[in-house]
Amino acid sequence: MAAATDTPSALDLAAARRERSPWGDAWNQLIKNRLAIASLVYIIVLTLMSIFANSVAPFKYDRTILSDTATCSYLPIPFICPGGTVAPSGTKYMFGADELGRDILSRTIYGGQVSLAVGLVGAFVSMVLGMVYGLIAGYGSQRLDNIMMRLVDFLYAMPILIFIILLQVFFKAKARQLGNVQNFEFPHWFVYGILAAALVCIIGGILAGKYYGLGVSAFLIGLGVFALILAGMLIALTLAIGGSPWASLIAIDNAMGGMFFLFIALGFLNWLGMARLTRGQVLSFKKKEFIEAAHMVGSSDTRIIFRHLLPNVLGPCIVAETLAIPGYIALEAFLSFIGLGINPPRPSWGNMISTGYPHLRSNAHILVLPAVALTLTILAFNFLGDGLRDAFDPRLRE
Amino acid sequence: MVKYAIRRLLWSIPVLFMVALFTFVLVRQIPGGPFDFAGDKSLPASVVANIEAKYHLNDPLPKQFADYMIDLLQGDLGPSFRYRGRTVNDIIGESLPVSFQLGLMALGLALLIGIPAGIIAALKQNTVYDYTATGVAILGVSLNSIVLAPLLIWIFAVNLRVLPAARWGAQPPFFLGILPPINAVFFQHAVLPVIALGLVSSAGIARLTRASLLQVIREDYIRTARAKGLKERAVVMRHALKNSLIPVVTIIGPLFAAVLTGTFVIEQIFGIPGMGRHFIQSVGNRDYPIVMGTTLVYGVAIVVANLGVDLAYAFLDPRIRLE
Repeated sequence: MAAATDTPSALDLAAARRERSPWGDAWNQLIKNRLAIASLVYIIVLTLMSIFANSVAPFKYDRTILSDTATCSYLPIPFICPGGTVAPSGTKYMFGADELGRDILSRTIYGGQVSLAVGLVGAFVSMVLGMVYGLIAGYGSQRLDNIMMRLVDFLYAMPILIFIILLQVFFKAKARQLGNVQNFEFPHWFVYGILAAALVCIIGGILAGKYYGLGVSAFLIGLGVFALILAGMLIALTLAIGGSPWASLIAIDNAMGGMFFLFIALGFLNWLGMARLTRGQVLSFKKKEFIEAAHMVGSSDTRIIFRHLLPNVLGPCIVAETLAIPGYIALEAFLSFIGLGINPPRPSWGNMISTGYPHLRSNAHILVLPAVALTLTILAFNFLGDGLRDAFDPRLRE
Repeated sequence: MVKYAIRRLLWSIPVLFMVALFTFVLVRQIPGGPFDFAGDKSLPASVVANIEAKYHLNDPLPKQFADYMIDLLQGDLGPSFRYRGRTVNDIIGESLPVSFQLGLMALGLALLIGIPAGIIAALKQNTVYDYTATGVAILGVSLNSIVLAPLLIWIFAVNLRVLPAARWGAQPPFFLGILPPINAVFFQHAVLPVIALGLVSSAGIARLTRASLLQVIREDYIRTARAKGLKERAVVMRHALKNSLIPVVTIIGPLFAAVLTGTFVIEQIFGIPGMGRHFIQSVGNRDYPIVMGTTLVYGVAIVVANLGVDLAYAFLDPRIRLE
């Protein structure tokens, strides 16, 4: 026994080695990337600020004081505010007030809710849809693969942005037509149900990962189950409200300030790339020796998919999805900019810039904060995505 | 190669047909019709019914679509519902060249800046040049044209007053239908929108070029080229660059689509009378024929761009053809 303390036994070595999973490796690599970690911290802080916007923001986003219209910041920001325009009441606004006398800082904080929600939900939806689709295509028979991927090719060739614009116009006009559901709020059972479902999925995912040998695939299963529950809850809510399906959907959309239809339009667009990526990855791994070995020892298809394929496929997919988030955020900003995104007075960085830019000549300060927030957030997701990519790519390691 | 090209070409026919069908149906499902309002006043229902009858909007949808497709095959995109007495062909004929000039210059700028910057960054990896280029590039990808355009206007038009903030410096008719006049007014007006549109894409291209060239330079055949004593210049120019630009070619398709998207915003901000502005206005006006016409032009443009890219790719990389 004493000898074991001097020279580690084979068992100890194996135990020590097992701790270095590919995910642990990636994490260790990511930790070293200071920019990526700084970006991660920024994103977490921004997320917290968005979640607790009611307490963090100095004012409510639609608090309008017309006498304070376009007052400047009390901070001495050079160039932005030509001297002497600071109204006495302007001292209340750290970054000034906009063209309607609303606090820009508060609106930017609330606007973060939209950008982050769109970015993260967009990533979530397209990841679940795309991975399931790509997995079926890649793992199924060649004929199925052919049919499924032809469909993706087909959709890929379409001017999808134009369809998104048309869909958004359609949703907005439909909402206006049925417009008397303005003050809808989500019932408590719905909100708590979703929170409970999320909690159950997270805990269940962790447990399944640890004790049923599913590893990181449990994460994806959890996501899928949560997506299903979410869809079910939405249908239940629609039935509970009891209006026509359209009226209910529009009520939900109103309660979310116009984000709900944006999610649908985004989900419609963005799963294609993920499906292609997943399918390609699955195809390349399907032929590898370790999968063949798994087949040979009699593993079931389910086990092979969840135990062997998914953990390998997941890394590249997460990287691709992180790098796609800036695209979703930019797309939301673009749609809000042309008036097809978030419903005013709910702020989003896109519609803040859109309503602010006509005042560029006289009051450029209105644009500064939302523009900076938009750029920084996209930058952060780009840095994080780059960092993740480097972390997951063993070839780049020295 | 020819077979491959023909197959790809035939493939685009159902795509365009579906674009037309989907747009046609969807745009008519949007609540509200093109003749609900005249100016700010709403028209009486009987008048609306009469006008709609005149434009065959009360026909069954399949018949409307069939009629539209028959006209389309003869090159007739129909009349505009909003601009009285003007056809969609007229409107597209005037606005498409403007968007085309804007988009093409932006694309050119993106390639002109992006590729050399990527090459320099890759060849001088881990030097000041590399860090500057990659730093600027990642900042560039993160800048959005809705941020960049107001910023450029604020700097160059509002404060320095050296460039115009809005409008396009040339009007139709253009030489050969598409070429802009070569004069100072045109270029002065083009500078800001082209930069606002092209700079973001150039950053993406620079990043891709750098990554691709770095990968190629580590390949065995480059080592062979060096080992047989070729000059560094020849190694890079003749051997490395050719292969490293293949991924750059493939990104031109998506890039083209991105530039098209960008024109929506840029035309809006700079008040440029291009097709993007017409499209967005017409969706709001329910001007069905203009929406259909512009969508089809965008569809054709994207299909043609993808086709060109695929063919170029197949030409550059023979493995694709044998698939």
